[in-house]
Amino acid sequence: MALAAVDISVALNGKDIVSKVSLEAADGCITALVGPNGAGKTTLLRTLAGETKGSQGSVLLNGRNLADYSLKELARARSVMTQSTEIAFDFSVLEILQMAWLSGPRENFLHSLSPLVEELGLAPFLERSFRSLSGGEKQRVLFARAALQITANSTVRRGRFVLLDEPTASLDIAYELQLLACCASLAHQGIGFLVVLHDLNLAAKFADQIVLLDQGMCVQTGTPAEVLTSDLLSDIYKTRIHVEKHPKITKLLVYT
Amino acid sequence: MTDGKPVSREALLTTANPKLFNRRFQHISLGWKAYFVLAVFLLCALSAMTLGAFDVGVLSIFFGEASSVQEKVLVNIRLPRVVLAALVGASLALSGAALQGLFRNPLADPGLIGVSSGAALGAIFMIVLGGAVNMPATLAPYSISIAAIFGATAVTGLLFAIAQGGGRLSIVTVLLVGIAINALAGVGIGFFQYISDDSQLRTLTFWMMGSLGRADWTSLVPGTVLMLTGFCLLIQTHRQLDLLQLGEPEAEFMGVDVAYLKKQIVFASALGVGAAVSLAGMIGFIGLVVPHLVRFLFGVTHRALMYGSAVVGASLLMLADTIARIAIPPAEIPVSLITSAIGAPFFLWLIVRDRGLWR
Repeated sequence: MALAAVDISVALNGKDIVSKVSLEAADGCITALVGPNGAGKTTLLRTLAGETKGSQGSVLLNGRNLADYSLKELARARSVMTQSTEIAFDFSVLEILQMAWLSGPRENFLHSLSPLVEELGLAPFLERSFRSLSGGEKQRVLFARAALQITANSTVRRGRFVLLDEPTASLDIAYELQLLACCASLAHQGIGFLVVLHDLNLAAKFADQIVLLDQGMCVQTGTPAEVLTSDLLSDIYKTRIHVEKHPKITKLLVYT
Repeated sequence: MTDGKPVSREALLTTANPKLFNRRFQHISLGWKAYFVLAVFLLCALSAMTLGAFDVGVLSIFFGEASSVQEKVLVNIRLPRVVLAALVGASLALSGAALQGLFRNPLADPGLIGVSSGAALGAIFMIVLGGAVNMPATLAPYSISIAAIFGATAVTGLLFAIAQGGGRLSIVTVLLVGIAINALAGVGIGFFQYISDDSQLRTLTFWMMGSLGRADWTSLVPGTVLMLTGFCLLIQTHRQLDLLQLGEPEAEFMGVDVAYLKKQIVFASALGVGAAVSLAGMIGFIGLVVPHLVRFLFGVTHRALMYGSAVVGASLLMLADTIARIAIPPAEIPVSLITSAIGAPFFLWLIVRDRGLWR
């Protein structure tokens, strides 16, 4: 089962922001969307989420056109974490997390809330106002909410997807690793992740598949070893980039 | 990896208790707060029924010790007035809570998007030029109500037609169109005031400042139906409004049909506020201040906020009306002067407190 874009184009004011992109993010895997600023990563993610309609092409979720899903069905099948962290009123962190509850017994939901809260270290500020948190803390809470929407409402994992737009943008190095390790452990259970990432080393370490975008087009899709090559990255990012296999962790290391 | 102490499932279930949904007065349970608010409501209702130019002992009527005059005053004059105050107060406060949630703006209220002005324009038109309108005799007693509801609905229709011109209904556009509609309605109201005669002007002035004095059982029935319909439509949106606080796309990702929600709230508010304005005139600050007061007590989640706002709004307007009747007997102060006198300083205090200038 997969979340797939088939020849998707998205135009804004007559200009193609995403142009004929096809990709397939399988469940149980982490697919990273990488590329320079303005490559169309966020637009593509929003189109795959169903927020933005493509000017041509289609988005398929588990083989079914996204437009054929009701909003409630979609909410059960995929969750989305955007870059927005603003909220008008003084909701507590716990209240934000409880927004992930869709239906069914609330007790069950609260039981499944606990392990993720522990794993992401959110326990100390459950009762704090969301607005009083730092940018990084807010991102961890919103990530937890997106993950809970999929994990806490059902025991089904296969064919479910979590879409994350730069989830590590405000995180320190420890929390970057913690958040993506959490994604990896959930992917291991069968959930598919589609993550916009800027840090190529994080993509190399955690992604099963990388989609490299440039100027709205898909340049290369494949495993980290296939996509993260020195020549290709140097060409796309217009700067000299080196890629080596790290001798200790046996993952690729990207540096300038 | 955890940051600080790990939390057990049991502890989390305990902390997830609704009690913690209220950050202020956390030591008092939600149930006790609800009892307190209901007790205040009953107290306000009882005082409103008892106090006035002519004192009526509700308990003496209950025990059959009252004179027939007292009974008549209570049943035909005082009771419809108290019911109207409760309904109008609840309608305005609930619409305020829903619109603040919808616009994700703590300053939103029915007046802001022009619904109150539209209703006022309709009613003023009928007061000044009503004689020229041929209305069937059965509808004549409701002519001002019908005109006010027509005004509120017309404004809402105009609001939608302009704000949704580009397809998606943008909240910023709704607010801007609301400001323009308020200004236009102001022109209309000013014009009708200008062409009105002395007696009409007096009615208009009193009506613009709000009055519950016209309450009787006949006029209450249609208004009550409309206001209760508005209530039901608004109350059921509480969870969607919570989710909307994360943003419109985010709410949609969680299954909320945001476009439908916007229409439901704006139309339900138009219904409730239009009916309220038609029966009681322009009453300020209830829609703005009551939701703030309730958030202070019950927290920000919309379920408690909306039920709480309805009860507190009803209590506040009954209290304000009682003060308006007993302050300078036998004269009556326009009730909006009282709500503004209570509401405006409270609102200023909230702004100062939120800016950290006071504490």
